Amino acid sequence: MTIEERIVARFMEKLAGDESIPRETVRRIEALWKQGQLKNADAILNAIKQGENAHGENPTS
Amino acid sequence: MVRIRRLDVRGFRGVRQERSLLFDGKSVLLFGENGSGKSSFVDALEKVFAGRVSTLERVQGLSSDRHGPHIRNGDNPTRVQVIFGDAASTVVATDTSPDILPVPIKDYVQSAHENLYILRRRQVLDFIDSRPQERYALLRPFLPLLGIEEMESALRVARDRAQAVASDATSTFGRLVSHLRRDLTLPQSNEPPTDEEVVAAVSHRLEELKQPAISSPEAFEGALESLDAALAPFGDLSRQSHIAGAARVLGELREAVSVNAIQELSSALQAMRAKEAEEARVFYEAVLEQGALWIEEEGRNTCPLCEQRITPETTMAKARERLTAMRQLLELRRRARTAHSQAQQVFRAAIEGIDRAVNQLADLTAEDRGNCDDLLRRVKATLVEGLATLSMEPRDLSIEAIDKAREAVGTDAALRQGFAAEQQRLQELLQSLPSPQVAKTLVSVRDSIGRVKEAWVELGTARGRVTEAEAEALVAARLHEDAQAARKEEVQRIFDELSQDINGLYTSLHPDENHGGIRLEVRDVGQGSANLKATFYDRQDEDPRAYYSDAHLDTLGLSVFLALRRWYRKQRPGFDLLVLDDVLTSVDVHHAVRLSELLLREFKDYQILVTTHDRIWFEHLRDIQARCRVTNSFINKVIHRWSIDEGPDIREPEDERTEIDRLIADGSAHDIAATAGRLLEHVLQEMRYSLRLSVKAKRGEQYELGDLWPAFYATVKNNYPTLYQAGRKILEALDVRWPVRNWIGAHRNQWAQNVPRTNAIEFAVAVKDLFDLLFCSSCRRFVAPSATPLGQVACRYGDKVYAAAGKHAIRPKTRADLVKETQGALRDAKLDSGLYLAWKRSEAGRER
Repeated sequence: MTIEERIVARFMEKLAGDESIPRETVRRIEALWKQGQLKNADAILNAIKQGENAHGENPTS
Repeated sequence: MVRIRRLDVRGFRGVRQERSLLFDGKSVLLFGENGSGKSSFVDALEKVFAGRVSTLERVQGLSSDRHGPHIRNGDNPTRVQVIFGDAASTVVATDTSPDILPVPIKDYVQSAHENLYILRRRQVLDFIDSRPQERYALLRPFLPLLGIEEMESALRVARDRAQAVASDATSTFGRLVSHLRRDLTLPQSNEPPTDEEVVAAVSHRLEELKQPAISSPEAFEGALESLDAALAPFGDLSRQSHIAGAARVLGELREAVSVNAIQELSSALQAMRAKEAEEARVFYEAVLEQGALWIEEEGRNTCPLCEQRITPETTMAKARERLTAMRQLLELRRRARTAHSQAQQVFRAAIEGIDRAVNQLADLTAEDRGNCDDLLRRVKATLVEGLATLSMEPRDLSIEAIDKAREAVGTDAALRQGFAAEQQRLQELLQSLPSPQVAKTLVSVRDSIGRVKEAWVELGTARGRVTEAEAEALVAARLHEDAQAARKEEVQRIFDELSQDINGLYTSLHPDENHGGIRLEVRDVGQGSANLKATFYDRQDEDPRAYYSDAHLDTLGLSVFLALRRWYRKQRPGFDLLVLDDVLTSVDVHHAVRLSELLLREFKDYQILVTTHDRIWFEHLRDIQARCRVTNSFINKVIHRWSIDEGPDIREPEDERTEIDRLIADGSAHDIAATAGRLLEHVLQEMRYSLRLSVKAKRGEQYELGDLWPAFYATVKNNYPTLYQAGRKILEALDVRWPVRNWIGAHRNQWAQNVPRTNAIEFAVAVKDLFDLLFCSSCRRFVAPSATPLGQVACRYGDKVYAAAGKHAIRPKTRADLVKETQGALRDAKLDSGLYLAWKRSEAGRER
């Protein structure tokens, strides 16, 4: 595991344990990382927006 | 493993003629006095791999492209290249594209692109002396975090943008609250008005207009409909507006057609003409004034014009009387001109006023206009006629015509009465129509409630937008914080690992000293910054600069670099180059020896280039190589001298000896003498250190044959009789012939052209014999005084031994013998220089 991979794994662990972030947002951020899109601010903002929308519709998500 | 075989340099930094530093896949220990060109080879390595020399690039105004080439290079191209020891002997020069290189070499060159393997003397303390942020920047190239930094940067941008959106939404919401409170005439506050406040404020406005109140904000539409119904009877309010405007203009016009100016003109003209009639025979003013002056000043009693006798007092009184009358007449004429001009202006202004009134009345219906059109036409005709009358010069104006014009526009004139009547008619008409003021109030309230209704809806939307944007900004901030925390935690883990290694290296250099506890810490604040802390006796977590000596800081700087280099090697195992360019300056000999041991023990699997200007450290490191059994993996080179036109002289003495044989066969006298002279100088430089020759100090330690030979000859003859006897013939021959080198070899003198070649050959043969006397081809070292017995001179392996006076030659003990004699202690302490030196001292003491 490279240093970068270790840092991302640690980051994802933190997101998973961070209750202030909607689960849908976490899922979308993970997906962005897998797609190599986590260097794209627009994509991140979009994920946050969609995560918030999903959270608004279903607060347990 | 990829290793460097050779480094070729020409016309670069301090190297003018082509020089090759031979690595042969091994490590190189390079000794040279200050300014002998050691660092030129280090710079050349960096230039090949990174395309730059960092020590030049970091100084403003310097660059390796401009200042890298040798200053006397002229048009000769610079050549810097590394030849690798792979099967293909791959050559990498400054202009080699990495794409054409074999994969292992390409990886090697890419790893060497960052200057993470070279430590120069001036950089030793960079890391220690840096501020936390700069320190992190120095560490940064060792940490492959580019992807993470890009991710963190994108998360930071997303956070900033989300926060900007939230801020905009909050700002819009605040502006709407402010507008709403202003429209409702509520006190200003950041809080949005409540439903009750809005309903009460709107209802109050409606009730003032006798309109029904509302019970909730949802009733805004009903209120607007009831206001529309109240406004319906007013129809088109523009008629009222036009009538009011026409009445105002007629009033202004009545005042504008003033008779005062005409009256003033009439009276001014009448007064002027009466005076003119009275003073019909008046003299010119100038004649009166000048005549009076002559009579008064010259005391004349005759008239200055007709020479008739006069009574001066009477004549002077008469002249003054006439002058007064004259001045009154002039004043009356000025008044008449002014009144004439003002009367003309009044008439012109009145005509323009009538034109404006005609335009204003054009907006009225014919019925509303009544007799206005006819009235204005007649007034204008009268005014135009009057203005024509006034166009004459005042002296030509008839008083009767002026009076006629005055009567036509006078207070009681039909025209002015006509204006009054029409104004009266229009005002009565206006009062009979619905009030525009009431309509205006209704419209204002309707607009206000309309705005409130829209703002109330917008406020609801804006409130939702604020909530949404703030939630998104919060999540964006948390994402960034979590990413930053993950990076910092991982970097701290790396720092912990590094700290452990730095500490291990440092404490091995300073055993039994109450130092250590070196710790690198990621600072909580800042994007990237690192603290360096250390222990000093009972003080913990202190900045080492507070208590450590310069020597300790130097070794700490070295330890940090070596730990980082080892860390980088873990990331790139195929890249094993380590360069230490004259890094020991303030370190004492014991610590220098420990560092040598540490290098050979901990970094034996690296290809190391160590340069030093410290001969003692050079010798220690060379000795330790044997004890560490790494002799065969090191090449020890000495830069014998340096000159601006040639650069460093790093030729091997053995090669020069072979070269002499070749030149004796077919070389010129000059070449033979020059090469033999250079070999003799190399031999004597070595002897200067090993036999501790007493030489008069020279600046830069640039000793020549003339400095070295007499000291060498005297020392050997006096202190080492066995060696002297063995080489007596050689030494005496050279004592006579060594100047040959200067005569023939060093300078191209005209007279030296005639020196016989045999003389050069005799000198060269003597030098060869001296070399053979002092150099051991088995251990490839020159002889040196033995530690025991004192006075003996021998090579390391004992193949060449010159016994001490009156004693038998004793072959230096082998390692096996030493281990046996120390009952195995030396085996366990094979790298402990302290023990080794103690043993040598005890042997020396026993010998005495």
